[in-house]
Amino acid sequence: MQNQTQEKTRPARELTPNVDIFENDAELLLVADVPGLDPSDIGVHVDLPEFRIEAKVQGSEERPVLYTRTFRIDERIDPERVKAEYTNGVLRVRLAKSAAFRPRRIEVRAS
Amino acid sequence: MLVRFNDGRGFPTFRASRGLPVASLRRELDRLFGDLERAPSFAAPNAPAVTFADTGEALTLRAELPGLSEKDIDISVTANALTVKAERKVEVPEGYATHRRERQSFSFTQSYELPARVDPEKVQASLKQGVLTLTLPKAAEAQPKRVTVSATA
Repeated sequence: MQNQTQEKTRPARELTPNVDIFENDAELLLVADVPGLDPSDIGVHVDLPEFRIEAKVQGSEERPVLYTRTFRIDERIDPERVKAEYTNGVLRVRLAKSAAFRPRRIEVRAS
Repeated sequence: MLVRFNDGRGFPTFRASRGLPVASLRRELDRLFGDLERAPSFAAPNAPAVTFADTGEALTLRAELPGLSEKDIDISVTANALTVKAERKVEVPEGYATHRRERQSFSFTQSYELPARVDPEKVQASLKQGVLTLTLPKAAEAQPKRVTVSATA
């Protein structure tokens, strides 16, 4: 949340991509519409509890155009196991949950 | 509906706020102004962003269609009109619970009256990472002509 209050020395035109977030037992899945990028210009930063996606649009000469979104993640995820892929202008980030925090079903036995 | 070629500016919609009120207000304002500069598209709130340009020899269209592949887009061109159809279905992946849904499905059909006659045979379309680029070369009679000014004594 820190960078919400800090002003930037060099303002970029910021675009807020639309994002879907899903969760299952194994992972959080974030899907963002960020069309027209080169995969190497997309940054996915995990600095728990902060999670940030950031991308610079190429070919914007004078004022850079940035796609940016920051989230706070309360789920226990494993920062080493974050995967991202970019297809048809859509970024998909999979944040795997730490094994210790995955739900486990305990059988109740009758004695 | 037939829309004038250069009628690409509408007013952006305020989307549902998220997160902390102050932070989200600020974000919404950033988005509002960011989107204003981006020349958002007309009418439908979830219609894709479309930008037109006239390069002299050709008219070009750039549309942001993230998540679409070639088969989701249908383009037809005559000498003075262009129709673009695009459809996107956004679904919740199986077995997942939903926390946030901002990406919308759309079914977009738009016809444009072109400001210059084009050669439909030479129109080129490409789709790269969710960005559709159309190049519509102008017909011979609509090509810019250079007029030489001759000095008379």
